[in-house]
Amino acid sequence: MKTEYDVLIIGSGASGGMAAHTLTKLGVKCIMLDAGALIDPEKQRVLKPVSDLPYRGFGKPGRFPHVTQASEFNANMWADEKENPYTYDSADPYYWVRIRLVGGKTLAWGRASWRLSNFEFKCKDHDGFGENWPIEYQDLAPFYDRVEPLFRVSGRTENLPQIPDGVFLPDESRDSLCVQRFLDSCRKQEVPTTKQRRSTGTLASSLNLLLPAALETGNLTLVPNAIVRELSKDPKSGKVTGAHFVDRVSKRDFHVKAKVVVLGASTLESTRILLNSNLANSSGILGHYLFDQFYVKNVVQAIVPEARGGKAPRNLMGGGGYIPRFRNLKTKSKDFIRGYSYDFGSGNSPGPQYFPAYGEKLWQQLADAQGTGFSLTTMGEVLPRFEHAVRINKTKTDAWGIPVLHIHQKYTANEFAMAKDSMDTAAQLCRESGFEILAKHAQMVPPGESIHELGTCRMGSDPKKSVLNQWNQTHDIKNLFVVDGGAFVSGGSQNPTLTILALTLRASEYLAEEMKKGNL
Amino acid sequence: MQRRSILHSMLGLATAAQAWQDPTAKLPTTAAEAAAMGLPRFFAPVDFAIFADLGQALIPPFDGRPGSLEAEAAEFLDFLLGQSPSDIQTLYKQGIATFKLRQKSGMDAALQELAAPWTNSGSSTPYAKFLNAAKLAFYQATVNSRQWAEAMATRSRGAAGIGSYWLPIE
Repeated sequence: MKTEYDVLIIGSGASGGMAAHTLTKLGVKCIMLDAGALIDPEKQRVLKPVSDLPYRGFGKPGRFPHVTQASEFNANMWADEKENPYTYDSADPYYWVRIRLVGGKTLAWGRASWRLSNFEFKCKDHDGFGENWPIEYQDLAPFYDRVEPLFRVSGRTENLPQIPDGVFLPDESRDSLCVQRFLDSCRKQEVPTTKQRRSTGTLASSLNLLLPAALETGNLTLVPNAIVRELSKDPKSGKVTGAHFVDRVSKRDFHVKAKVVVLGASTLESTRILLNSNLANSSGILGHYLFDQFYVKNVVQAIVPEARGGKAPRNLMGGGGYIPRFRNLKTKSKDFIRGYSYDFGSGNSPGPQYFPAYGEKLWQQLADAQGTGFSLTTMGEVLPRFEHAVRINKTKTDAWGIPVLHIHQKYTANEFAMAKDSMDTAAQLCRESGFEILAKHAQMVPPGESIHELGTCRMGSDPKKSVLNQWNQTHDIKNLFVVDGGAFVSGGSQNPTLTILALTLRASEYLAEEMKKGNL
Repeated sequence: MQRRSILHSMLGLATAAQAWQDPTAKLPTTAAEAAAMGLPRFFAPVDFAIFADLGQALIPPFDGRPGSLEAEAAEFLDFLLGQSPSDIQTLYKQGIATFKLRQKSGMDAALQELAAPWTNSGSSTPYAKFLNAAKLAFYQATVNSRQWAEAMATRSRGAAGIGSYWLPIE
């Protein structure tokens, strides 16, 4: 490829898509490389009964040992684990969940759209742990304001400082009677609640909300099936000059030239590219401070007794909501710092595993409990620690001969204490609502499974303690930017995609301005 | 996600990550193909009959719905187990051997571990783990069967079990 582009964007998901959307509208000529195929999600999917699937919905055994989200229905969507291996110490498994398609994980994200607050941006000021971000909430608020309408986020204004309000499609939906009972219990315990804040629409992906507008400008060249081996660098200037990549299908190697490189390949893939390129690591921090958000799925599974036997009166069941962080805001917990949040929902049917029975008795209990369920899932903040890190495993390569990551992360005492507190609190709230508790537990899913991997390329004011400055620009190389979740310094318990989008919008406008000034 | 969690619990797939690199037997991908090729099944005939009995006890017909026998759940699970990681195969082989012995004292005695309340950390003994895994597996293989879909189609207009299937990318 002999053309020199203004900006090379690597990755097409939330961050890559937002970079392309912003830069191309500002007249910047961009080329985008994505490791996956370009698909039309509507033509890629067909309706099928589970009984027609070869494995009756179980899926082919062993195909996705680390992707608990994979079902036999969506198995073809996820990145093949054999083609894209990684390693970890057997005592500390890490579940790296990936999608290699144009649009990335926005093809399947949960759409929860929460803003971070200064409880995260200035976390060290609150409890002394870790580092503050080099920006504060007020710096990012105007960009959140512009991202939310683009992604059609619905929600309810609540004036809760830990989840700042935004520009929402108003959620006027009414709560069912069981949810109202639960909200009353929360109120008595001074536990805040709100409606979900979610991106709406049939598809809410980079593929339909960001990339079409970028392509329409005529300033974006999209190259699917392009797997980046490493970035290229001019030894004289020290600047990056583009990327070497391999075509996924033909396995032929190519090089693309650009004045600026923007990495938005996802938290761990961007860091892998930088490590394989031996770039942007004068601090020695690159790859370190890996964290995510821990989940305790169905921390409490309860039953609303009045709904048993199909006797639920109209409006008793259905709907749900969200409990934002409430620990360590005004008071201090003795067992842990930071906090957790919950998703809760009602009207589900508890599965057979919850009933200590078999045969006809099991059937009777399942029928009796159909549609009676009330359950909560905990999402907790994970503390970033230097020792939780990724490095290149020099002895293993992927299907294209590119060295893979070795990943090390595990949960520590703070997360375990938080998970237990979340179980006890959820059980208390359910009991006070008059619900019967079927089961409760505090077992976190393995690190990575929440698909909220963050850090390893973090921002900071001090180049000795961080990889990026406040504009997502590497301290070491001024024409190199990283705009995905790798930049996070802390993550709270809020789903990170909205913040990734806002940070990318902000960084991309800075990039375009600096480029115009000739500073890159 | 919940569907997948349930499916993972079946067959004891929670340990699949540890068996990531375990070699799996190269078998045909459909039950029909396997039958046509005359390949050996996972359980020996005597053990298969016991396995089918277990399925019938765990998930019998109920209120006009087919049970595991009518849904041919044992045949399907035998096919699935033949392709499963070795730790799962061992769990089922040893589980059926124990069940065979315990069955002599009656079904209630053989299945008494299923009276214990559910815990997220799993069962305390391999046999209890086997019984809980088999209960979930027979249940899901039954309600996801064609026989179940046909029976339910006459009772409800709902499109139970219909999902959006991703075609292979290329």
